[in-house]
Amino acid sequence: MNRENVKTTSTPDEDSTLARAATKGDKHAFDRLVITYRNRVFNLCYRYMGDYDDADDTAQETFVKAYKSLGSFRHDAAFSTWLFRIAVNTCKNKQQSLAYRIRKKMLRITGAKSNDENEGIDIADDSRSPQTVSERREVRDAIMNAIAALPDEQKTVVILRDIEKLPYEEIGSILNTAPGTVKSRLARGRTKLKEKLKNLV
Amino acid sequence: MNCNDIRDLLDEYLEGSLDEQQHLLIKKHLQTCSGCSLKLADLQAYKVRLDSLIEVSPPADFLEQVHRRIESGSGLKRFFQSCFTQKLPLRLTATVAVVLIGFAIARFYQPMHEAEQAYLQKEKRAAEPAPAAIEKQVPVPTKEKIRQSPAGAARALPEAQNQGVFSAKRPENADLQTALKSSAVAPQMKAEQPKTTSKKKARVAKKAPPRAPLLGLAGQESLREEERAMHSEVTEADSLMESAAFAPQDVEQEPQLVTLTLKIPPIQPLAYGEEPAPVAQSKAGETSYRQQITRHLENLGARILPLPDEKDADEQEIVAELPVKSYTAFLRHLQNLGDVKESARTTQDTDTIRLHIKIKTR
Repeated sequence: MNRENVKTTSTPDEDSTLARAATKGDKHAFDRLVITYRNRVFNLCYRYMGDYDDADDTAQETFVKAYKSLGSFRHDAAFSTWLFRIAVNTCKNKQQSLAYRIRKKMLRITGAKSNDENEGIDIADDSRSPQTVSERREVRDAIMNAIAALPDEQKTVVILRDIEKLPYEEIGSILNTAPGTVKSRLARGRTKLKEKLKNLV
Repeated sequence: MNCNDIRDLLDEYLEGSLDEQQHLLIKKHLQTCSGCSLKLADLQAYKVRLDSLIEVSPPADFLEQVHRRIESGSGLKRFFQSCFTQKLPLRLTATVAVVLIGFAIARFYQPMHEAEQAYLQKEKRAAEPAPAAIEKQVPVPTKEKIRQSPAGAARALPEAQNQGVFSAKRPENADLQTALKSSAVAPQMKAEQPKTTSKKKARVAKKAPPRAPLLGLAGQESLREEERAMHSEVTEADSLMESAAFAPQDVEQEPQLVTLTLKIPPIQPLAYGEEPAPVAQSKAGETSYRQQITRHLENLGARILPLPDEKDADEQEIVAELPVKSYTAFLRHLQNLGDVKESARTTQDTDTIRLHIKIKTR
């Protein structure tokens, strides 16, 4: 399917219709859902995992799980909420897996920086001079590392609220928590993150 | 609305998601409150910093990869694939593989080990002396004893059965042993283990009867009738205990046991053209009698059983199972050869009779 010809935004009703069609075996409907949400899911996974390859693997796994679980989607929440919930849980499971932790440990031991490999992948870097580019990358890496160092619950809400710009209610639905809880976690996460980033230029 | 309430809503204020009334209220508060204005500036700076994170694009073949993973199907397949693409650490994969192989080997060898143990136990049983009751060589009940025993046997039988007829340990009381030997349970517990059973039968036939009082041929028939009447239940339990002494699964219906002692003159014409040396004449004569009797037994449809122990193997002895209907003819044949003494016969209704023939020179 040519993704250039497919729109990447949709309303909840359109998503629901596509999800119903996909549940009945319409693979093109599912493809449209993947194309609509792949960027958001991929970026969510990228912020969470802090690594492009891990993000790719986790985002793919998210859609595979969604495809296999379409039958259990009850349409009482937005498809995006359901999909992001799967994405968050997949990221958490991945990060908690022994394989992931060992790989990260080995990367630290060998001094490899996984993000270095993906520096050229960012979209639309409008910086002009190489020095500015380098500085901005350093800042981005510092922010990414600071986010990655947050406790799991705080990291999740920071990503969903401050990067993905999701409303509190939707974050509460994704995490199965009250919006008040989301706010308090976010406040703690922001405080820690500001503390970590205060020395950045 | 106090400062804490205002600060809680600063995020939504910046986002522009508040209703107009709340928005105006906060805006008015910020104009007068420097603390809340500072918090707003701090939040704005934080958001600008996070907004510097640039959106990344998934790979161009993302959709195809998703398709591939959906179509590759089972998690098991992907697990094995990941083992070789190093997405799982090799050490973990190797550990799992070693554990699985270990289980497989253990499972493969376990039945062999058990079979070996069972075989060794059988060999041990075959090699060790006969169980206590047989060692004591309990005599086959005499006529008088048979007459005395039924009541005691009948009393002892149920109790003994409750204590576990299939236990390898045998009771010491001879009457009780006899009673247990005669349990009617035996036929129900029949099991097929021909090799062990035939060995055992041969041993029992050899060891148990020898000290039994030998009865004259005269009056045998009437005695058999009496015994049959008095001990119909005893004989079946007898076979059970004989079997239980070895293994519960060996229990099967035992044939009647008869020991025949044939007394022959030292020098007899040899059958089948054998010409014994003078020195070994007596022995050779016995051997030839043995062969002759064996051949006759075979002609009558008997099955010649091996003597249980090669060390004890005596050429003067024959152990065989003979159809009951041929027994009289065989007895007549023996009587033509010499003096025959016949032990008491066990009297259950079996198709075969087990003979233990001893050939003695006078």
